[in-house]
Amino acid sequence: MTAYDRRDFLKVMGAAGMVTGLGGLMWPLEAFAGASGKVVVVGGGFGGATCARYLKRWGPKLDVTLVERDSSFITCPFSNEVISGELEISEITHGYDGLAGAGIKVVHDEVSGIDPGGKSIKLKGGSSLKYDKLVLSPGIDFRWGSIENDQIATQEAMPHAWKAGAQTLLLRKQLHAMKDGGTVIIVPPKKPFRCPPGPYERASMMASYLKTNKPKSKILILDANPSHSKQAAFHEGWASQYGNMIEWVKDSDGGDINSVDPASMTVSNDFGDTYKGDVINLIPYQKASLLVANAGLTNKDGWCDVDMGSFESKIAKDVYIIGDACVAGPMPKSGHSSASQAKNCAAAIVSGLAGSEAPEPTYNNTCYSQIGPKYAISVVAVYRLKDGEIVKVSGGVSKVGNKSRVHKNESKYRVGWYKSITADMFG
Amino acid sequence: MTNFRIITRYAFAAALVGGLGFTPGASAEGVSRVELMASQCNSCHGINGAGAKPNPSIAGENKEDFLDLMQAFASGDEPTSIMDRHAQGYTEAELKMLAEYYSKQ
Repeated sequence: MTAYDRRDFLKVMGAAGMVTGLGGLMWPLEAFAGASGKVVVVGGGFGGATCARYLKRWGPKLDVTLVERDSSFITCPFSNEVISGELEISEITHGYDGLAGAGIKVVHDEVSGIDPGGKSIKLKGGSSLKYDKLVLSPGIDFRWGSIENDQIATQEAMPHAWKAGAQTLLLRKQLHAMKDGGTVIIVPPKKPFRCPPGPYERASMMASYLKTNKPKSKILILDANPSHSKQAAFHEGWASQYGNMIEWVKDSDGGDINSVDPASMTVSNDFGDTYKGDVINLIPYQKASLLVANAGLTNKDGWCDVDMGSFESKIAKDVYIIGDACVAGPMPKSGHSSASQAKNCAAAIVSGLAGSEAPEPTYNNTCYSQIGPKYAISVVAVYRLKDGEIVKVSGGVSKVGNKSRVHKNESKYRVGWYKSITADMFG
Repeated sequence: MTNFRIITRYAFAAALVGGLGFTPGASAEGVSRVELMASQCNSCHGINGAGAKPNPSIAGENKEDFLDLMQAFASGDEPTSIMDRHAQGYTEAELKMLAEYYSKQ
């Protein structure tokens, strides 16, 4: 690693000077080892912000820089309640001051190029950053055109709201302007996609709003998949909370939409069926961010293959890819998964830079979905690394038939989860 | 060089004593298995397990009680909304490591 430089030496000498009274106290020499080096983290979401913080927590001497395009982060978790009107977007918006306060250099800029050979990245603002280790947590981009006429311009008439922010507010505005008796159509993409239960929680939160404000309305989910996340628990909740307001249509029953027409607000399938919506939430097919695609770090399917213990790219040495962009076996593309991966990645980097072996990996996921007031369900899993692959060792979905007390507790603990995980990221 | 090393030993001790930004629990050599395991709990139970209402604090929990409760969650003896699904993912040795760790937070 980098040599012990004069500046650090002077700092240490100053500290030593304050405690002459400690003469005779022996401190193990190894204790002074510890990780040093320069780590650059790109992307300040669940993966990147968590990774930056744990790098600094576990490697206090590390020089950690976080590069993030935006000045604040709006969480996708809880954004469905912004759409329903129960929360304001300001309540799910977080700044980066806590990271700066923890000694992380926060640079608001966009990456224009990655040079793994030269171990540097270029920023749109013109500067370059050198690194010993690079962590990329860039999230997803959309595969525009997977459905005929689903172009970037379509997101104005048929918002995806799959990156929280302006799109979330647009979908909220459309839902709240809809007439009573209207039809909302939700079109989830073919798997894999960010937040597998997201479209179904969204249907629930929209139904919660409609039940109170526009009870004659309907929600139609036209699904490109044969099954969906937490399916039995969602369907039980929908029936108990909303009667038949929400209808789910699987792929082989006509849910697999292959073209859309924003002008007539219709979507169509292969069978020749056309559905008209007053509000259409069209969630595009997904792939890893263009940032990693343009750097040549994606596989033929558009995602990033990594060593599932350290999250080092299988393509570029000293480049680590975490979060929605990477392939992590059975771990869903959730904020919690990203944070879990971030800690494993940080542990591998800190240990590696300290010259010691990384601890055995350990991962978990906890993902709550709100179905109605005081009613939530969850999926949980604990994972281990076996023969280089992440495997699930425990977990499952909330049981069908759970008492209302369990749903109420899950709804409460979901709020505690949000507070905890965002504090873990942003301080 | 020898003198320099001795000075740096004291300096490091001084930094710890002075609380100059070193996090309790951080291993100087790298990251321990229990630190990594415990970090996974923080996502719901707050930084160092300190809790975020209504999610309970697990910091400073008596280690026998911690182990007993986690095992009761895993076996189904203690009703819970989600902790059974977590507790079943760890060996007894790992639960003991976590119990020891949180008793000192």
